Amino acid sequence: MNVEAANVSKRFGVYTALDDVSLEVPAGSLLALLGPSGSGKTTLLRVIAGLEVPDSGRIVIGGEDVTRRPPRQRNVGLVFQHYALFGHMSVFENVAFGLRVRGLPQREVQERVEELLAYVQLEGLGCRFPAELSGGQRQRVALARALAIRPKVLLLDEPFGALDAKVRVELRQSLRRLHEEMHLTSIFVTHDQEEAFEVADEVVVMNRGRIEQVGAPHHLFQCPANAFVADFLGDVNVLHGCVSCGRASFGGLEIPYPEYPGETPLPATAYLRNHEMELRRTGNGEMHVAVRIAHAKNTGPAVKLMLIAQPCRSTLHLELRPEEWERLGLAIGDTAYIVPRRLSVFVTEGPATQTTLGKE
Amino acid sequence: MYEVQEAHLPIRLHRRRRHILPGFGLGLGYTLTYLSLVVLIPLAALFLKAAGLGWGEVWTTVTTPRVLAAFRLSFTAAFLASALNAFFGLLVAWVLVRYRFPLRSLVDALVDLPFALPTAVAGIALTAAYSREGWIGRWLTPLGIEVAFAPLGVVVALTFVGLPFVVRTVQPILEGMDQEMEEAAASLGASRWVAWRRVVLPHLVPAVLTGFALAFARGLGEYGSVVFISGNMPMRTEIAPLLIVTKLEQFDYAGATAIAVVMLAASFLLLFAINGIQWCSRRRYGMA
Repeated sequence: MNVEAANVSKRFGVYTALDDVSLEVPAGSLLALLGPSGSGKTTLLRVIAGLEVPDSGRIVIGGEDVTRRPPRQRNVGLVFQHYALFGHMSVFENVAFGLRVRGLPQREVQERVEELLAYVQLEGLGCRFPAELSGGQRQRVALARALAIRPKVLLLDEPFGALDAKVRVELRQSLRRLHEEMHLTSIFVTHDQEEAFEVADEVVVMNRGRIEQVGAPHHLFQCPANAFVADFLGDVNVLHGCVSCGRASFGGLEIPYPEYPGETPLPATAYLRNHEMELRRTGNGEMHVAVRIAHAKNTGPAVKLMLIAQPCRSTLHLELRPEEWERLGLAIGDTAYIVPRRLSVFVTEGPATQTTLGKE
Repeated sequence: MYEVQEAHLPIRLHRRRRHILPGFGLGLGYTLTYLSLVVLIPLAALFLKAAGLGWGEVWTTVTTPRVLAAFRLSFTAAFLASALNAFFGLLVAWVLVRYRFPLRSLVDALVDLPFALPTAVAGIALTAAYSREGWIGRWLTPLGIEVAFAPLGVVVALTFVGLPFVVRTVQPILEGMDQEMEEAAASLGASRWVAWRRVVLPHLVPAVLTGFALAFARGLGEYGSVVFISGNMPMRTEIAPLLIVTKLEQFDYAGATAIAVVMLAASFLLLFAINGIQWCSRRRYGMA
């Protein structure tokens, strides 16, 4: 079932949690709502679930307008960050809750719950209480409980947020598997870029109650729509400079920027990713930025460098393989050159451009 | 010589292992002394006195019709009053925790009034309100309901003094309760009422029972507020604590002690019940 939010706004007092948000989730997709805390991603999820009523706008699930419908009539599976299991009920009864509320006969309840517990690999734990389970097991009970009512849409709020790293990775994979096997439309909230990129088909980047960009992970990574997205996706280095007369300049680096032909210089930023730049002892002509090596730390598999760009004083972080670092023969305090292969330029109130430089 | 010392050293160190936080010995010592002086020694003396009396005589005293009637009234009235409080206390706690309304903190403070007010004041106020010419009593008398100077008056007084117990035991549990559980229930298809009965209420039951037991124990021993409104008619509106005082005034120390021992035993049973409830719920659900 496809899910659609149309012009949804929600305020809490003076705080705007959602500001005219529109989003379409095609049936069968696995979508991540990604953003920093306070970006409105959880509120959007709660509005879709029916736990919050939007101030304006509509929610459409499977072609039906459900904006005014209470959560119990939406048939949407919901998984909470802190599981929200019923502590006074056994695991079996937790999973059975939705079925019992629907008045299903005991035999069917028994069958369905056992099938689900087996599916989430908790067979035999039906008579335990949630307090006796580990975090990962609790999360799987929460999943089984949400799936028991055979929802067409599964909503997960920071589903892996409270778990340790190893369990997280396992559960990510099982979410992917479950999404495919159960033919669901799934939406999950996360603030972890890596998690969103690894699990989701499509990622929605949110900030301050608005959607900044929607796209497949590789698309977001290569063509961030604005400085916020580029910054939030992480591992970027920032150079400060300016644009004028159709060119952008960042220290020794000059690239065409035809979007702004004006003569008054405008401040601009260039974003360079770690793996899209090269460190050299000597410059190769015009396409380089001079840097001073401020710090170098060999962590074993990699040497982590901190570089200060000479023209704009911004700090760049770069990782090299130890043998590369050896070969360069540089030391702390030396001057070297950064040669970017690709960079994104953002001008405040201007369009973004991605430029691929040199020969790849 | 040297070797002997070596051998002794670890043992001594082990026995005199120091607590990281200072003051453990002093704190424990003070607690035990304090509890002994105020609670344990007087209660032990009571049992010793009763034992000196001979259990046969205790039995004869507490099975006289007048004493039995007083016990019956005390236990029934305390039970009814705490049952009322279990229901309405839960309601008050729910309203205080879940709703925001003007003067909420004033209402919250009012709940403690029965604790703060001298019980005699409560007794006089209730008698004034519920007597035949009182503000409330004048509407009840035509309906044939007598409150003041009747067993019902005892129930009213005990309801008043027991009010804070359930409210104050349920309130923190309700405040700490994750509203996400109700949301989860709603998303699974439960109506508001079903979510409340199947998810919220089971969480509150241990607290309600604890509050009920506390109010019941308090009701059994309550004296000040009851003596005004009940009229203290033997066999009809005389409560057990009053009977103790009456016997003391008649210098019948043995009789007073006998009744007191029964009351004490009842209080102990209630305390055990409260602890049992708390222990069970903690063990089962991992919460208090």
